[in-house]
Amino acid sequence: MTLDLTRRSLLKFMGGAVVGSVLSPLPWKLLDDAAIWTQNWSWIARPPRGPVSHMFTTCQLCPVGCGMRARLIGASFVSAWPVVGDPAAAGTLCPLGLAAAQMRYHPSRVRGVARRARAAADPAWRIVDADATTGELGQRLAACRSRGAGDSIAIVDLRPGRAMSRLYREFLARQGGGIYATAPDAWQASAAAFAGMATVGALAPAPDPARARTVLNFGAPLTAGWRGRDIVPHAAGGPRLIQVDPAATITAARADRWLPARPGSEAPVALALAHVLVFEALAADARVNALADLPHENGSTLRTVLADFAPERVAANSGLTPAQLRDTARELAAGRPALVLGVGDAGGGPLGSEEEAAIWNLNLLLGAVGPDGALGVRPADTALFDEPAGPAARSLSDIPDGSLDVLLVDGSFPGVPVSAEQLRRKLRGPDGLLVALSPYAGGAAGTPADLILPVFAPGEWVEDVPAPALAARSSYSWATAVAVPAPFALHPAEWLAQLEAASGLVVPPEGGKSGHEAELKRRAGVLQSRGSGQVFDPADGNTTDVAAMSDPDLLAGALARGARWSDKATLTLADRDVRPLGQGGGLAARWRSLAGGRADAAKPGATGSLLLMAGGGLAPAAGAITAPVLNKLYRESGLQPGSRQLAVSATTARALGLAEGKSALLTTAHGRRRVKVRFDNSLPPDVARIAAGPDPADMGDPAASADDRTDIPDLCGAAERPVWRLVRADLQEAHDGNA
Amino acid sequence: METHSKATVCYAMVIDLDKCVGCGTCNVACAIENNVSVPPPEALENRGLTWMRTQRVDNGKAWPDHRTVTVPIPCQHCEHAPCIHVCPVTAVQLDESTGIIGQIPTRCMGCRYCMAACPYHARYFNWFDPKWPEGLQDTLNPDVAPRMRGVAEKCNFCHGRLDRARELAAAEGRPAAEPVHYTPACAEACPHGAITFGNRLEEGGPIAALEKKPEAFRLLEALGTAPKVTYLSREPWIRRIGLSRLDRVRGHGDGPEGA
Amino acid sequence: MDRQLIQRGLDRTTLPRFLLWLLPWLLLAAWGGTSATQLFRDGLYHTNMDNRFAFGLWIILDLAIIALGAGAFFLGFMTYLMRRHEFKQVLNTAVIVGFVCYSGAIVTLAIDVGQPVRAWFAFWHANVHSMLTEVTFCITCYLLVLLIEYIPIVLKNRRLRTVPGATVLEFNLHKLMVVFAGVGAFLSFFHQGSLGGMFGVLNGRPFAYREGVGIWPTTFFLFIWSAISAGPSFIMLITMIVQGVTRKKLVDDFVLSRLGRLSGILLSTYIIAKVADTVVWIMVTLPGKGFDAAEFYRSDMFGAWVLFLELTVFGLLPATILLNRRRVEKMPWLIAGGFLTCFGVAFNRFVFTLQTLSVPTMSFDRFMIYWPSQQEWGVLAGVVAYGVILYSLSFRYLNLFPRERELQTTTGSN
Repeated sequence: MTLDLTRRSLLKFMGGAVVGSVLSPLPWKLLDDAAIWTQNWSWIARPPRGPVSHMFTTCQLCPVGCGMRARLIGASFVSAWPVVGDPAAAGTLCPLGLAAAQMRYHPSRVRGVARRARAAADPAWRIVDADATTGELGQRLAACRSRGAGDSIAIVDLRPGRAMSRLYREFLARQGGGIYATAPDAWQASAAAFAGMATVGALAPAPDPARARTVLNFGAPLTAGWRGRDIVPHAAGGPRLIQVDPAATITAARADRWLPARPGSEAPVALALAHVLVFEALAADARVNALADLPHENGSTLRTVLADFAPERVAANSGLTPAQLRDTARELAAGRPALVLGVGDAGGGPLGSEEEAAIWNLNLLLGAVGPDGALGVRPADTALFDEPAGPAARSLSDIPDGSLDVLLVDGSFPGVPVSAEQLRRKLRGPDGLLVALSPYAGGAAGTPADLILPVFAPGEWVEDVPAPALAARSSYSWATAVAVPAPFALHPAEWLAQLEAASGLVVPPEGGKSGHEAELKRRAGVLQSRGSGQVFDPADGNTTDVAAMSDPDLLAGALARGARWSDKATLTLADRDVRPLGQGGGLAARWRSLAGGRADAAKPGATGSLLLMAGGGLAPAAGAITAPVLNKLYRESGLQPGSRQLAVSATTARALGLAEGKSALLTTAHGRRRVKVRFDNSLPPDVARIAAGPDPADMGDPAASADDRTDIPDLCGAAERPVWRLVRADLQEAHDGNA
Repeated sequence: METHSKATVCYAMVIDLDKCVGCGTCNVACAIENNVSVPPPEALENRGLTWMRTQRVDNGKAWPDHRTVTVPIPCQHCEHAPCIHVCPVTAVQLDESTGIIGQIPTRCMGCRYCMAACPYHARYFNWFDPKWPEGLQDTLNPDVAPRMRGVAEKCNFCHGRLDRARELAAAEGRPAAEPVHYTPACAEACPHGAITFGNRLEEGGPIAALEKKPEAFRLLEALGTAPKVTYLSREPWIRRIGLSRLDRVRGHGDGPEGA
Repeated sequence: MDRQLIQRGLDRTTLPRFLLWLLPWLLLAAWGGTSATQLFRDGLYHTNMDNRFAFGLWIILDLAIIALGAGAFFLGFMTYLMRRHEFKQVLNTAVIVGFVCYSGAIVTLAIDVGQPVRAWFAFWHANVHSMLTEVTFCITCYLLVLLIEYIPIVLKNRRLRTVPGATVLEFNLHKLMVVFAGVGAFLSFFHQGSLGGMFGVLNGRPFAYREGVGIWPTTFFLFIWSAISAGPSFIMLITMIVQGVTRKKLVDDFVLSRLGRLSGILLSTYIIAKVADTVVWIMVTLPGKGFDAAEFYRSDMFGAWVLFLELTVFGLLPATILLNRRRVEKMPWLIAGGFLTCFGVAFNRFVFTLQTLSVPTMSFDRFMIYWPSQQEWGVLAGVVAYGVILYSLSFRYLNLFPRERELQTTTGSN
């Protein structure tokens, strides 16, 4: 048979082949592969693989220090979850803490020693040689020391009370009298006001709403995630809540009584309440009378000051009626044990020492200070850990402007509302050097810095976390290392030792990383030897008495596994150890100057049409570094306002000719900032609010910056005055429109 | 309420709005658990990916009578889901054994018909290539596959956690037919205990009891979608937000201002 | 070469003038091409669509051009099945316009989906319950039918006729045209209907949702009805435009009038159905879902005028014009009526697409508006330009109007 291949038969064969192949697996396999290919692009992110495990640690992103369960896949720290039963924040974690795992890879993380010339036209960060930079800095310190100007060196510790804090103080002492400074946030400032009224030292207030029948609260979001310690609603067996709040906030709406006092009138309102207690409600109480008549050094007594704050006189400026004030005071007196809390909206910085003192006085008058009352007293951290005296901590605002050659800022804690401008002003001219020990080029420390030392990010090293200010109990835990440290990151203590060596001193054994570890162990030992308190083990949820722990290593071991030590506030503050008008009685005059309210007192020369309140929202801090996923709250759902949105009531905005979403220029006596108008009818007329929180436009993108960028504390004049939560402002539509 | 005749499990969620304070923890916990990407800063408004959207709603009144509530809105996992029957590529499916409406991103072709169909705006589209800052992919959850651009995604009641719970149950030798208990990320993270999750078919279980409370309501109940997410509030004005716009206006006499 | 391609006896303009005519359209097509490249490369973030406006300009474009392209199947149906042979004069135009509209719509859809490489999943993982599946299947099949209908027109080209096989194929295809017209009509009915059904079945979107008749919502039928009302008008307008641009008489005037009247008859019945549907929607459907129609017409963008415009200016008015025998003989009336009808159907598709997404569903939703981005307009411009270019080439090299030779009295420009 011959093969007779014609064109026709070839075509037939090809046609048959095509039809036949459809019946074969080939085309279907190809289709299937094509389908799989579209599902598995090589550029889709690949999660880590490996066995799942958990480690327990403490959150370091805010002072509350919540317990945290770190989820690990292999060696990768992938997510953080709350620890059920943890006493720090009732086993909860806020959005910042939940996103803690992302902080190590934050886009603004510094990947080496970074320096910038702020005066230069292009003040961009450049990675420089670490050893050379440390050497240069050491020579500066040596020069200061040799000319006897130790006080031109300072360290600002934004998280005082840690083992690292002690290392800073000792380092400064060896440098010939350097300054150890803190920049108190709203809670720390409130605690400091309390300590300032006591004549016995090293005490910390420990208010416990759970032990009160009535709680009077000035502005803090007590039912809305207040430091992870929500108040139980009255209906569910909690205390009766009286909220003093200018805005119709969630806490105000859920309170049993809401006093919509004008912003800035907190001190006169508190003093008017005290007036009613002293002259009317508790006039028959011998203890109250003794306190009211206690003579101070300048001869004044609480009674004479309070006489000027009758409800009738305060009512006009506070927006409240005399009856509201009287009823509230009587309700407090009848509903004892009562607790009065200050702090206000912490996003706007301290409420003010005058306000806080007036509020603590209410607590004193209402009694119940001590282990059985609603206001407990616990030892300050320095007292708790038997620290030797180093240089005393000073407030940042007490350092004279233009006096420092070298200012080190511990920014391992990214968010604290500190004025960048205030920090810069402390430096001696253009040669002064601001050095941030910070993982990030941003935040409280990174924003004003000339030089950034890339220290470990949260989760990369073992650090201790003392009890937050105003905590109801003493507590202590370690933030354990749950992640592999970045190769470029430095241990702050280790770097401090290098610096000390570079400055020509011999580093003693208590310096450096080993010194830090020894101090951590020492602290565990102190707690063990005291023998009081309990240790909560997050792994099994059990609590063990410290008294049952025979060996200091047992406690240290537990802390290293993420356990938390805590102890009841057991101290008492006797009435004889209290000075209601402060040491020397100086509060009397300061209160009288605030009789008309704080906003008017702070009013600059030019009258602004709006009263601007700083704060609101999650607002951890001005220019804070927040995890990229927080965009979900700030940008994608608009739940948190961020620092580029100005909240103002619809009526007020329309009176200024501004529609919702309009770009506007907000001007104060201290600066200006472009904002977007956001209607918020919870605000009273002529009051605006801006969050001192992160800038949603910049989140995850630190390179972006606008010309008219002013951080909220600086916009409100925080560089010049300790209380900056209120300021007069003008608002005008921005016509260039590129907000 | 229609239930599946043979099924013993029907997962459902109850959100107590009186406990919710609008902190957004659920929103963030969800994003972290489910590898939800973050669009770049230049992204337009309303292009986010918030499986658990937290929406602030107010009563439309001025200070001092102004009140707000935050409504967490996950996928409502409707019994009569408007999104299932519209999908041309069968990328949306109801799991009869759990009641969960699942989304298969690897099959989705991105026509967005399901998004147009959903009255709760609970579906999101990947307008951008999901990108994570350098190194951040090391914090992704291996139990949930990251998506690619051009597909829709939404809440699936943390299906990754359900799978883990089933694996655990299997490892413990429990029969596969036995209902599995697990907690989605939002319910675990909520600091105020506002979110309850569980099997609504469980006799005497918490979900069935909460769903029967007089303060329970659902969003747009009249549409007949029968959501498996129930909301609770003792405040009458908050209960009215579940109604359509008109009903709410009638209840107020003043136009509400949605957030 | 160019001359040899032009049909014998047809007067066409010089090649340079023709190329000059194409130039602006080529530029628009280039804009479309650039936009499409950007969208394929980077993703859909170049559009202004968002999570609320899941559909935008492109879906409106798709719905509108598919409705306007309905003339292709409907005139085929009238010519071959109803034996109205006067429409044969414009049938070739109808086929090409239909082809342009459907292929343009498919290209736009391919750009519109987020994962174009998975577009075939509509066949691979087809969900038979989805109206969109029905649309995809019918449009794809119908595009094949249109292609088959297009081929004989192309094969009649002077050069191609010299190929023996082409003539045979053309002759055979021509015999089958009745079958294809029938198949086309069936497919078209279905996808025009399913396009309407796409909106009518949205039980979570009360603005679009409609009660069912049988297994289909009323929009299924209304979309068919409005499309076949507008189809003849669109073919009529296109023919007039071609006559105007080329300054040639191409069809008998009575054909145009009959196209117009055909539209008028269908439109008047459509409007009755539409009014009845709207009444049922307002009185029964919406209250049952807890809504009130007034709520949908409260925004600045979509007032009650939307409904008024649709029913009167784009409904009753063109219907009265085109129903009148005397008026359809007069060109200005015919143009006005035809234009209002075509614009009306596009407006209807716009309302169903955009207002559905724009109006709030939940009590706390906001009215939202959307404006397309440069890239979205670019794709639209590209599709329109593609249509004009394909039609121009067809007109130049193929014999689209059988009566052209006899009717030619003046010199043309194209």
